[in-house]
Amino acid sequence: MIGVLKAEIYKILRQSKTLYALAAIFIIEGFVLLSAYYQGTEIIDLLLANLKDSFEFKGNLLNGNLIIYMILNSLWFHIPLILMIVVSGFLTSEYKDRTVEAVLLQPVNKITFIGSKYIVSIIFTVLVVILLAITTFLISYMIFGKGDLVVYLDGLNFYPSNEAFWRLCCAFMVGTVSMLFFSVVSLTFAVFFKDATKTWIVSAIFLVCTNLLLKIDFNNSFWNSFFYSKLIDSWQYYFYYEIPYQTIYLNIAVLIFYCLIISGIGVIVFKRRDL
Amino acid sequence: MSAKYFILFVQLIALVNVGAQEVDPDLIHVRNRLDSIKSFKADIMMDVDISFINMPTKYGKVSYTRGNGTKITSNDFIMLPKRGLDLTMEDIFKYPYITVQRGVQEIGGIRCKVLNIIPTSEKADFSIATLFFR
Amino acid sequence: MIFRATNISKSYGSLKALSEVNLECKKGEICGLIGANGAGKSTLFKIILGLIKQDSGTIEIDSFGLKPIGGIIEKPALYEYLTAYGNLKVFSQVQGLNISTTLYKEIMVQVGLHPERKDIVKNYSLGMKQRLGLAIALLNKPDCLVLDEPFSGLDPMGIHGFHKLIKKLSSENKITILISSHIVGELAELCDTLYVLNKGRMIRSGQADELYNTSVSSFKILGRGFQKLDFFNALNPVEIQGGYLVTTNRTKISSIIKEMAIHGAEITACIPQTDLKVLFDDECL
Repeated sequence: MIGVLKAEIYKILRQSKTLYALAAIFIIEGFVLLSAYYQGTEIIDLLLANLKDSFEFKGNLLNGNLIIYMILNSLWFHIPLILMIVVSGFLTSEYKDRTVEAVLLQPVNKITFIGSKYIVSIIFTVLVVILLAITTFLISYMIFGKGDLVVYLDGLNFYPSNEAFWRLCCAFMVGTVSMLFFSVVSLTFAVFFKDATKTWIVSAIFLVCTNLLLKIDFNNSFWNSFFYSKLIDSWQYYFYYEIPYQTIYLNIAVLIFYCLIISGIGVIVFKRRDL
Repeated sequence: MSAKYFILFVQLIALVNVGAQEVDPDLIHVRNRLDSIKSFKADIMMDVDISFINMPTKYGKVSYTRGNGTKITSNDFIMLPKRGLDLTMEDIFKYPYITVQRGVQEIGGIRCKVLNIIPTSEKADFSIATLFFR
Repeated sequence: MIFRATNISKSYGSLKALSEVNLECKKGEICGLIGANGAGKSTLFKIILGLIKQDSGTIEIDSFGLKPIGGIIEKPALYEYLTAYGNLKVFSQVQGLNISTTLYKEIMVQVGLHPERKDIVKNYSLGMKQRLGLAIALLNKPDCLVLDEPFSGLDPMGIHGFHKLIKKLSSENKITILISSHIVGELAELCDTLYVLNKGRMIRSGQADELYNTSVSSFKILGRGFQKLDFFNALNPVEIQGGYLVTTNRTKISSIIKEMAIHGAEITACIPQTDLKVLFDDECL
């Protein structure tokens, strides 16, 4: 298994599409920073428009913490989409080039092969989010400095700079679990569909549907608590004034459980299918 | 002619009576104390009590200089109401006013004398102020 | 016996791809598997290599190495964005083998590639890719090598070079090699044993030269001075590509050549022509 993992990591580091994916993520980050730089004040004014008649504000809300929060919101769609495309490509490209056959001609069993794909996908996803977080924090604080964070979520919430920092860190950590879920799902789609284009289309549809289903109230506490799409936004809970820690921990545990189930399905299907 | 003089006399008496209406002595005492202040500085704690806004307690400094008004500064982000934040009560006593006693009320376990201040000038930007004297 | 496949059957829905196929190879032997396109050669090889499961039948390999069988299915599948070293490194790592620089050079020289070449495999010719595929198949020293249509797409020089390489591997390394092709001529001089697959059934097997001999029903004769001979024209020769095709069997051809020589004909070549209809026709058994 270690040898297979090393081989997978070697291949990922040598593929140009890995660089393209990382570049895409940083370009998105760059666009958010640019738009914040030029239009950030207008956005804050819009947020606080109703209060400006009665209150005077002292201090700068357009600071690094707000920018980091804005980039964190790219965890809704942009980051999972890029991850799903790249991660599914780890397998679909091997089907296309027939290197799946070539590898399985060596003394390595199917479970080891596909298992290593899942493990490497998880490692890749975690590293991407960590890299995104580090660069976001560094560049945002460098350009915009620190300050209170304002978040409009169930009311207008203001967080002091120190508190905002750890809330953002925790949100990135929990957001990583959501990204892992999407990566695992996309790799499982790749096992089923094998073709890159089909897998991308299905992954994109899955992502859109997930975001739509998130907004639907199922009128059933079980579904509202445990349906996968309701768990994806757990990182947002760190921006409620009173953080529902129990809910967050439960959501993470259930999401990890779903990841295990889905990857298990992918492994079983891959093992059973003829090449 | 005598009726005219009689009405004028009554009005003069009324004016004298008005001029002679007493401002509460406690208020005079407070007013004199406030008038004696030329400047001050203090550390302050600020809490926002609005239902849809969640903000932690903020800390800052207030400074006052007679003639330059009150300034509040803080390293944190703070929200200050545009109206009603008059720590020296300058705005209350800026224009002529009358006082009306409202008895005694217990606030937070402390017996306080309640006094209304009603400005008599239209230039004042409040219609009534309630003061609680400990 | 190093390798034996017994009664292998495989169906895809209503299509019977393989029907009770038997095949065995001895150590150091080169076995050929001939069949038309769609006969079931690749399916059989994929079953032998463990890529797909047979519906029934058994595969026995008399080898205790980590990798009893290596192989290439159709064109070699390589990581085109990696160099030759990168490909060998990846395929070595997956099977727990550490490839040192020395071993890498040894392998590359063994298959006739330049170890100094640093560009990515995408720039390689098909012949070079075949050789690299072979190098990968030889990792961990398998006792048996399965090559599915290895000459496909190669030019004559490439085919010749690959022939030499296979013979060398078989004779020096004592590796059993099982090769498939749909072109009879490619396997004619290479294989010791030949198997003929037709529509999923093994219809013929035996020593390669014997099988070819029994399938020969005509000869291509090249030369001068025999075209006007009466006895030659009585054989109803057909003129083809600089020579004449004469329909006769192996027992009679030598007497015909002798007769032509007596009449002063200059024979430069006499090439037996395998009758594919005879070779692939199971009713002729």
